[in-house]
Amino acid sequence: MQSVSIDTKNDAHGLASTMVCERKVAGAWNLLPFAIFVVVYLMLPRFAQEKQITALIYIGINVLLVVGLNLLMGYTGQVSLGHAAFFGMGAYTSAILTVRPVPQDVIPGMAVGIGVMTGLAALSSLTRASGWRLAAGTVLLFTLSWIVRFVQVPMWAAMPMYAVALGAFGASAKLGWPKCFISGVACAGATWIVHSFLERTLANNGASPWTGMLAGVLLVCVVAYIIGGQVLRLKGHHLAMATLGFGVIVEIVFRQWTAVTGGSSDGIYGIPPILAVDDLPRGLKFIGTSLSVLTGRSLSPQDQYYFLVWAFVLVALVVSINIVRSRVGRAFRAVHGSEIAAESLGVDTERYKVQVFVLSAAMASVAGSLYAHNAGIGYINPSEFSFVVSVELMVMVVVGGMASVWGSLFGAASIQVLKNWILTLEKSEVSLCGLELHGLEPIIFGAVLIVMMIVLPQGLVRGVSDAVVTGWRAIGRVMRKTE
Amino acid sequence: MGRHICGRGSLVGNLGQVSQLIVSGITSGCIYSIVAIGFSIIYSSTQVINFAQGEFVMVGAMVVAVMLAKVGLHIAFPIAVLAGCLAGAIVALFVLIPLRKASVVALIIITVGASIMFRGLAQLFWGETAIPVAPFTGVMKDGIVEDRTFRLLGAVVQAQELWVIGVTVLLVLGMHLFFKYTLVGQAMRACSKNPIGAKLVGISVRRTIVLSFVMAAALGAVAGVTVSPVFYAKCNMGTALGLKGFCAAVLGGLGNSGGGVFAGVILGVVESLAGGLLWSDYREAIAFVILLVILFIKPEGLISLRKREV
Repeated sequence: MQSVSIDTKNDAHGLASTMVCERKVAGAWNLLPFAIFVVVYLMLPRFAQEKQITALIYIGINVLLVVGLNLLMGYTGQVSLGHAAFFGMGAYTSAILTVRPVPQDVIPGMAVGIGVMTGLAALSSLTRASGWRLAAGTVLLFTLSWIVRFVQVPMWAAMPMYAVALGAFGASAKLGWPKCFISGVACAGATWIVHSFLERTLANNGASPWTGMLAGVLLVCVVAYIIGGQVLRLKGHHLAMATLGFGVIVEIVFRQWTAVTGGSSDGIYGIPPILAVDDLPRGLKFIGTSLSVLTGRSLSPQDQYYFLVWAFVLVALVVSINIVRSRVGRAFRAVHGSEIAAESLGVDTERYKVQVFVLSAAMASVAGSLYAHNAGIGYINPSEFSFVVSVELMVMVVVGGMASVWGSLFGAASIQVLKNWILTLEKSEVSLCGLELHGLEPIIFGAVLIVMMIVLPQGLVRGVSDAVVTGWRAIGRVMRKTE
Repeated sequence: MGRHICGRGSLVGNLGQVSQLIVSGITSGCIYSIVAIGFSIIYSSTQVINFAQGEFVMVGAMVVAVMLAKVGLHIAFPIAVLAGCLAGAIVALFVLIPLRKASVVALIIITVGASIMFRGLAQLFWGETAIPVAPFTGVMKDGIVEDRTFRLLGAVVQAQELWVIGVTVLLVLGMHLFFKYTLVGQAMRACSKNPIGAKLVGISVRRTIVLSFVMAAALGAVAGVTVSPVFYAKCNMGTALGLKGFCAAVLGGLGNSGGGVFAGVILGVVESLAGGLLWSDYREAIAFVILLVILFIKPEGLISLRKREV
């Protein structure tokens, strides 16, 4: 592979960096950061008070978000200004399913919506249809669902109807009938599953948080697949604006769809917390006892939630570090370096971009569910998932350093600490030059963004370490000269 | 955007409602157009999308709202435009320092940062509440300046809305003449066509970039001043206006001011009609849905002159 010569300077540079940084470090040393992480993770609650535990929970949720976003932005080089939308969709899905069992009258509509989206995802992934073919397929799926709903076709009849209609469509649009046949089945199946699932949650007065989380992840994956497939064809500013537009639309839906989301004034409250340790099955009770031995106290709901959130963080870190070091990760970086060069080496750029988009959206969705079920809060409203949140996430990625998994940990933690600090400053009623310090947050955030991008575009950790290294070398050079 | 339709008398039937919606759509469409021109000017000189574009409108509106409490419009107007220019120069500075070595992501982040910083500053200094602004040619009634109104095809038209439309037409014409006939305008066009060539014939590219930011900001500020009596001045008005202006710019083809103006007015009317007649709850989302659809189908814009020139 290395022998391929590319005449454009930039392309060659991007690929070269991709190849060179893939030097395998000796296996055992890779595990060292994880070992340190696990030790700190288990020992930290012993020395932390309740307030700090709460802060740590938020940091953990942000780390989940930032690790996902960093895979997308840092490694693959695709900007997303709408990441809060996926975060919010995860939070809202699990909150709605657990607390506010969906109203009877929106169930069919929701089922059809999700069914059509699934069918669409299947259609575009199997046949790679785009343009008018995809649009025609969408229209067909919607028409079929409408007929099924209003003529009240039973499920056993609807399934073959979808399959045959889609198969015929596939044959006539030259997309191949078996693939379209399968996507028809997927659409009908998803509609049916979602419908019966929602009816059951309605009958049971809400699902369990874990079901909610799973449902959120599934929904977000389907939505991200469809949106990503279209959006990621764009580049640079257009991509940023498109993701931003998507984020704004989702936020408006949260605000305005009052029947389901409670709107902006009410929000959803009374969301049950996940008591991770108390709910452990009998055989695993020893985990709870050993954790309380480690912390030196009986575990409060906050403590339990801390352990849960950071367990997710640990999984996310392991997964993303493994991805980054794998063939897929190399493909991501090749896409970042130069899409044309990557494609000429046989990397299916479009597929990898969509994959990483879906992966980071799924991580955001898990983070959203964890955010909604946070012990002791149990309340969400649309402003927690607005454009500002997307920008905050971007700040965290930038501060932590693009393309650095461990940096994400640092970025999320430092920004969250900064935020808490600003909050206490605002609460303390200090006045500066006669101005009350309310709403300092955006100003400081904006300034941090600008200064970071101008002075240390490679992130705080790497920027400072680079500066130290160059400074050290300069000193060494001077010393050698004087000798 | 808190448009107050109530208190304007009952609407005469369906036609009245439609024409009313069209009038308000054209008014907001004019503002989108001006913002779109700003996007185009900056894009053609730097290839940067300035996410802070909407904040220039906000700066103009807020400054004029605050100043009008103390001085007359003839003083407040220039000061507001100057404040807008200052904001533009600041953003230009932020973009210019790292322009040569920074990636697209970095430039996006910088302008987003500038945008939220301006909004935060406005909120800190002038508060979060919407400030009502007296119309340009109002009449005193019970101690409050009320706007004159006209009736047109069953719609009630405020004099201020005519001001908005008039100022927009003037600005668009002015920009056209500026780019076509003045030396500076021609230099700016040369820079957008081929920066290296422009440099070779002795045009300072850096100065052109600063100038384009200042001009875009001044345009935005003028738009903000004229529209503030209709929409009120609010510290978070800029985001939505900027995004919708961007929708217009993309619809018209980026870098193509004429197309942007046309698309802006169309966007305003479509949004107003769809919001008023079909989905009033999701009025704010309409422009973004249109934006996404356009970006998916035809990212180079509906009305693209670029191809014909090439």
